[in-house]
Amino acid sequence: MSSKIFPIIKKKVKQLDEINRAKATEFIESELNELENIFALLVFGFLVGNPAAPIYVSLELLPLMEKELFKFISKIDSKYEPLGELFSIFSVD
Amino acid sequence: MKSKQRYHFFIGKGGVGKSTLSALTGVYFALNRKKTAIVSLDPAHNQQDIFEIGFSEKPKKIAERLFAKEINLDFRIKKYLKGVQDHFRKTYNYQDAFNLKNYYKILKFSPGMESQALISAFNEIIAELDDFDILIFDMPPTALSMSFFSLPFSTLVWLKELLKLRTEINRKKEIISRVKLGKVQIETDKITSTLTKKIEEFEKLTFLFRSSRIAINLISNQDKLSLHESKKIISLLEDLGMRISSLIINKSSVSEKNIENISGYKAISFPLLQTEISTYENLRKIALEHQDFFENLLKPEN
Repeated sequence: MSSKIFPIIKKKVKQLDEINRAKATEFIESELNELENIFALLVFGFLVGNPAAPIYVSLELLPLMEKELFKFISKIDSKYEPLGELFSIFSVD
Repeated sequence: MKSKQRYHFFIGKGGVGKSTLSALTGVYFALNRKKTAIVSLDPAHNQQDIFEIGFSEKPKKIAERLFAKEINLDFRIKKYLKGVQDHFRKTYNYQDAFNLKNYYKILKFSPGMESQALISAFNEIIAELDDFDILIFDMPPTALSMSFFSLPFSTLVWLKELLKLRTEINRKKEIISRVKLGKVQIETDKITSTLTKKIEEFEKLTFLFRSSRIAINLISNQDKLSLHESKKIISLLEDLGMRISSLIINKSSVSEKNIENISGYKAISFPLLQTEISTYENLRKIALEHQDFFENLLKPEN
């Protein structure tokens, strides 16, 4: 009996641990997203009319920043809904 | 690179005689047993009219120990952009989705591209001509020259700030990885390594620009406008922590004693020549006739 229950309990504890760990990092992740967006804005600001790094710096980093560029473009889409984004961070429905 | 290799820059307002004096200085050095290359970074490329020889990106021999080459900025900008584009193609999956391919066509007109191409050209030239004793750079007019000298300093500020932000991003990623996985599992960040590498390159360049291996010869005429511009150049260079090595009043009709100090620098004068300043033979004669001037120009304190 115990041999059947023990793995189930172990699995549940593991799941619970994962959930708690994910919850614990939620805010740091949103902060990380913001920092990555600021970084992309500094490097690619010229694409949206902002003053940006010297063109050489942007061009040197451009081939390495596919992921950041995707985020940057999706951020432009959500720029008129800052409250919606904030609510999603705090899980407000 | 020769440990004692020196770089002479000739800068000043358009038309003051930068090309003529850089050609004459090159001839003088070669006559004094120094292996010398005159490098024209000025898109106007006057060296070929002075020597009456066609020059290209490949160094061409003019006389014993004297060579010259001209930099094709347009070609270098295109070459650089092609390199970035190739790198971009290798790393991106959806190039067409961003429509960045067409964007490259207009990039060559971006502000800063010309001065960056000059910086890249300078780095390549000093690596390529490492067996020369002296490299003489005939510089473009003031705006582009100043942008050439200031670019490494301003780029360095940006690179350092971006590295600081990137380090913070990596730190946050480490925290997330430690909490989520119980251990730090971060891939090597290519952006951080690129930024670090570029900082090293630009620090080397700013160090070189402030070192005694660089001699900046500022050329002016006696007229008010070029004197005023010379003062501005001195002030801009001082802001970057750089000093000119000599101030030359070209086409001068008065003796040095009668020329006032300009921004604290004692000017040396080069007279208005009546002879034709073209062909190597003529330049050789002029350089020999004005040996005192060149000896004075190349004194360590100048």
